[in-house]
Amino acid sequence: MKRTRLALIVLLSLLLALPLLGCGGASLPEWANEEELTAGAQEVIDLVNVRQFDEVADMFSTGTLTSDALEASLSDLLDSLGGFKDYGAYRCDAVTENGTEFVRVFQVSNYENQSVTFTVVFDEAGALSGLWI
Amino acid sequence: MGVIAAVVNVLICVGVPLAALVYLLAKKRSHLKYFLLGIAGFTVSQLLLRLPLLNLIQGTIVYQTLGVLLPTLTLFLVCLSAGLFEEPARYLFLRFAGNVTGERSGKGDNNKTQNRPLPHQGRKNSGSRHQNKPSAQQASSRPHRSAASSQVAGKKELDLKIPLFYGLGHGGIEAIALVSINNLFLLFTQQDVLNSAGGMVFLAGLERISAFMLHVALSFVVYYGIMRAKKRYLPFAVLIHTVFNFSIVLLQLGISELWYECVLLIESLILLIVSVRLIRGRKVSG
Repeated sequence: MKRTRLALIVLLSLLLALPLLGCGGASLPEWANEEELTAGAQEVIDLVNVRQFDEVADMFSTGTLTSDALEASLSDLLDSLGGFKDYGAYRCDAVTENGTEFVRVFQVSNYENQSVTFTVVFDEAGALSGLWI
Repeated sequence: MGVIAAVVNVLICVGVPLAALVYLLAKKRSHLKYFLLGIAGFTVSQLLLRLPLLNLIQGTIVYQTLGVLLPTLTLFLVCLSAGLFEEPARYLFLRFAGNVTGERSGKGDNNKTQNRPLPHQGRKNSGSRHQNKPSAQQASSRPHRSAASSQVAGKKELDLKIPLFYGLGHGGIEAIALVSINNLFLLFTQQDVLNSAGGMVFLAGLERISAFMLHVALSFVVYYGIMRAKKRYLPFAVLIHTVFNFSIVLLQLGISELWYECVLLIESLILLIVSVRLIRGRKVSG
């Protein structure tokens, strides 16, 4: 009985310890200026709010995302959010994919019907590399 | 490749609960209700309560701000909410709807009761060669004997099939609701999306295998707590559920989704083994 209890305690401790390792956030790379990147993210969101999907598509570094695809995936959601009110809290962190560093800007945006968080990703050249709501 | 993976996912998500259902209908109809209770447990706790509430909360400034400024804490609270909704539901559905009842006391005094006749019983049967084996008529005609029988009955062997089928019902409807419907939709409408994702699509099926094992393990823990009348096993199940779900924070560490699913598989396998050992190691003979 004691051995089983001990095994359970050890197991739970391990399970708790593993996730807690993830509490530290990655620091920003040297090339990243938090204020500039946040302003850049808000510029992208402003364009989304006024549905200028052509301009947003042009900002993407890969050039693979078309304005039609953006419109198809965002229009219904924007309709449900209602009118844009203001920006809330934000946070930046770094992420590395295939050896390339990116910076993600998490920007809370408040709308008439609800609040959402935009995730805007930039590469070192300042080009848009990802956009999620 | 992605299409094949989606088909495999659907087979896992639908096949496991379907196989359990066919087995129950063919050979173990007495346990069918626990399978159905598992379905009801997930439906009520998640589909009708937690997910609609979470949807409401997620649209608020407070939630979004917390998610941006304290993402790990937010993730933990979301994981905790899953445990707080699903585990009490598991307890309530097994205990009350399933009418699972265990010992009256969890203090370990039942062995004494079992081995020693009650004073009333001893006097009645003194001088008899069968003083510890009263007739059914005697047992039913005296309140003292009924009480004693009830305590002895509380020592009956644990029925592992009850939590097993509850867990399969719970995990089964979860797999169907969360994965198979989505995969079927993609199979019929957007096969190009599946093909672009490739073999990664199979990770959803792998996660369901882990979830099946987790739900069976948690059902073992909660069932054991009910049978032994030990309330601490319910918060313990909530804790296990929370920690298991919180493993998703490993993705923030940068580990790949494949490794994350492998971790979940290992965690659930260990939990299943430990929970089975918990029950088997403490099984009381009837």
